Amino acid sequence: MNGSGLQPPIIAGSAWQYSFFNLSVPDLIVFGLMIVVFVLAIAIPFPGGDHNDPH
Amino acid sequence: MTHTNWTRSLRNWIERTVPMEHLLPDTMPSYVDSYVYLFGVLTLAAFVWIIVSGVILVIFGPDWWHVSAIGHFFNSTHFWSVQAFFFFMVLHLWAQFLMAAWRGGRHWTWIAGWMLFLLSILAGFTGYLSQTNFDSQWVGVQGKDAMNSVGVGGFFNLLNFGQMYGLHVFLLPMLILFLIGAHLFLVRKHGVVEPLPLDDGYGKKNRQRIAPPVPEGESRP
Repeated sequence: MNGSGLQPPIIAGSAWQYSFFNLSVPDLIVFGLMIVVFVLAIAIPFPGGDHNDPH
Repeated sequence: MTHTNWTRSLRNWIERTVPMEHLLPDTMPSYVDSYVYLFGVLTLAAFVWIIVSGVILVIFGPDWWHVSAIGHFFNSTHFWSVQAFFFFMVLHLWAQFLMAAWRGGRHWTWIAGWMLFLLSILAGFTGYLSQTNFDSQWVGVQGKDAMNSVGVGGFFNLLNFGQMYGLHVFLLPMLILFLIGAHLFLVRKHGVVEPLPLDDGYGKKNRQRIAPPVPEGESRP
């Protein structure tokens, strides 16, 4: 188990802290990815859809 | 003399409330042609993988998933399915929140979705406690104080592996399955929510969100 990072001293990874937020680097990566996927889902036209502007 | 018959009245109620063309539609409104409408079904697909990998894990148990290569594989599959489940569920939540999906009598669909979200957090939490590794011990020891502080520590003991495991593999999945069924049923019953009316630039909402059909022989301007 040595080298697994679970032997003392255990050092936490870096995190972004603001108010009650305490987001680790993986947290920030996932949150950023969610925003990117959400924006792309809105922006990319759906194949086979009707893209005529109704106005 | 007319006989009231509960099977007949139930059948009539079902036919009246949820006709089959609503339950199993073969066409969808044109506004569903967007990737935004895929987040719900992606959440559902992740849930299927959670159940499949979870059933395999529960058959063989912790002694297997910690030491066997195949056990590690299914343990990881279960973990990553949960990541995908929450990832797409939160995107589904954003999408439905931003289009105010509770409109048009769809409030119970929205409420069922919220209940699913909260139950899923509880299921994820009991899952972390069921890992039987250093992580689960850390989460249990840290979390028990929070549970005690809100007064549920007496019957919800995070350090009781059997209780957490039982909740995780039986009670919570059953509740989530039931609520997913209700959620999907309500979506089918009320249909997919239409997009919000567009602002026409003059401070008025344009209720004619979908353009009227173009008559035969004419082209859209």
